[in-house]
Amino acid sequence: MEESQTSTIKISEVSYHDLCAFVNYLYTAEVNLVDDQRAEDLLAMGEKYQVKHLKAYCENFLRSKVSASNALKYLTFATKYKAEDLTEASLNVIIENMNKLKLQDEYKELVKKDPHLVIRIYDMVGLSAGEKHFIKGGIDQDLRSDGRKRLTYRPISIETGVIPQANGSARLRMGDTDVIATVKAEIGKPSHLHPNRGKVAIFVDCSAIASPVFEGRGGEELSTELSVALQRCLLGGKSGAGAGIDLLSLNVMEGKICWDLYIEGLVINADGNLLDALGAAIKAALSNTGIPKVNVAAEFSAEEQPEVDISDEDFLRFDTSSVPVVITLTKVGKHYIVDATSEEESHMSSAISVSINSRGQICGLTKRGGAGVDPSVVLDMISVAKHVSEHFIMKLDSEISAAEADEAVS
Amino acid sequence: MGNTKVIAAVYGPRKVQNWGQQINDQALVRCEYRMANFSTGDRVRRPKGDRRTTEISLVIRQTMEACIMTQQMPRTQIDIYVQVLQADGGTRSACINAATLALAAAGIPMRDLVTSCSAGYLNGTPLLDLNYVEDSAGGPDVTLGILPTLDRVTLLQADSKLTMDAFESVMHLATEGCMAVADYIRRLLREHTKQLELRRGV
Repeated sequence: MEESQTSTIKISEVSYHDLCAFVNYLYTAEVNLVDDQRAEDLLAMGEKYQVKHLKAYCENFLRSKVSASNALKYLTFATKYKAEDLTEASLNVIIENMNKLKLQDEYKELVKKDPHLVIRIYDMVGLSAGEKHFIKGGIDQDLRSDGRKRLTYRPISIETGVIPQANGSARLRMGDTDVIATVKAEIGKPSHLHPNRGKVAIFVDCSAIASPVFEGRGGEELSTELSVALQRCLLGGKSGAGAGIDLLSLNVMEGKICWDLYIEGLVINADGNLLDALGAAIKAALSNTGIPKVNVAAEFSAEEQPEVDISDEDFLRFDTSSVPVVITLTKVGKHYIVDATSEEESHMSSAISVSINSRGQICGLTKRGGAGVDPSVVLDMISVAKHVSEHFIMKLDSEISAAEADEAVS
Repeated sequence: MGNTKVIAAVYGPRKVQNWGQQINDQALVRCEYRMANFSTGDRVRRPKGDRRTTEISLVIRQTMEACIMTQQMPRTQIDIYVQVLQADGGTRSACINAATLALAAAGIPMRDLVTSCSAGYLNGTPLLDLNYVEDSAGGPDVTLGILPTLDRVTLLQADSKLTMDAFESVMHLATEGCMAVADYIRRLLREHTKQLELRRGV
């Protein structure tokens, strides 16, 4: 071998400065990434010589440098050197700027040179450009891909009393979206700020059954977003005023005992419009809820908690006529639609969720999604939501009473 | 099973999500067990990934792994998700039975349909499929999972002490329970397949 005779190895593919930095890193574990080029070269060497720390360090450095102008370049680079984090970072940037990037020559070149990468980009987007165009075009012409108009809901079916262990429960299906809402009542102590009011808490959980994405902690972000949005829409302000549920009716003995309501939502199948479905399911579950009558023992001293006797036979029913429904309007292009499927949601620009009660009053409002909306459009959307809500509440009420009747029969 | 209600979903066989976990000569089986907050009588907010949850996930995974023909699907991943809607004793068994049904419905090749059933021993009598109240009485609880046609035990868990004689009778009862569940599951699957047939117009 030539190397054993001359005792030198020629490394031709790297520059002198890069090699110096590399050797320096091997001895001192310190590296000065003067520019992007240096980081790229060192990452390549890190991969070649399996110096994992260095590779990870450079990757981290480069991740912050990814922008719309260089994302395609970095995607090719990162896949070549198997830098997963950098690949993901550049893919994310590419997807955000897909429309602009498509027009660039660099993109066309990539299509020719490396179609596999382009497929990977489209895997991330989920829908092809053609499909997107189709959905958008349909919405423009007021005929969506499942034959609905812009402001029609999917058929709803409700089943009440599905969880006998809870005080009230309902399962609601809206197209392929499937959710369960339960209400549990527990005896608690009112907060000293509002001694005559009960407490209500709403939690939402996204089951991994709906989608593998929700596995482990995956669904947590969405769960929190949904629970907070529902709390805003149904519970009213901090003082409890304006809440859809009359908190005064949860009072048992002022300052001593009240009912704590725990409302829990579980997403079994997600096909868009989860917020509306959960809102409606909670309304159905609340009307299914029976709160046991409570008898308080007559004598007790001021400091002690009085004894209570919970009756098994008598139940108090809630008045749910004032519980609002949530209507989400999703903006796609120039128009907005109600009850978007997950396909349609995947390219929404923004959405506004309005909660409206049967008297047409607005009880809460949330805007979701990234893009900004013109203020006049917001007002317009709210008035449309109000109009839609009248039909929706009517339909929902009749479904709820039908479900209750079904339950009573069985 | 009675007041215990569970849902199972199977995703796969599909591409392995995490490259490091890929097994080159067989499929990777993963399982996640989750209890809904409202599933128990008293409301408890359980953090995800507590020890009981992890343990049951592991038990289900191992039991299912034993019956799936993993060698036939190398370099793939099969996810089993089990969600408990209502817990009234015997959640383990219910979850395993649900997972078996889901796997069969997903058309994943299996050696046999695993079935599971629990049994206990209270006041000198063996009892089949304890509910929550019976379980909390403190008697022993034996959970058994078997492959009914191959006649193999894939899962056996018991807590609290039992005499050998009593254990034998409890075990016998649990096996009978498993067989009954197996018959039921088989019948259900046949019906399901018939319906699929009808729908396709074969």
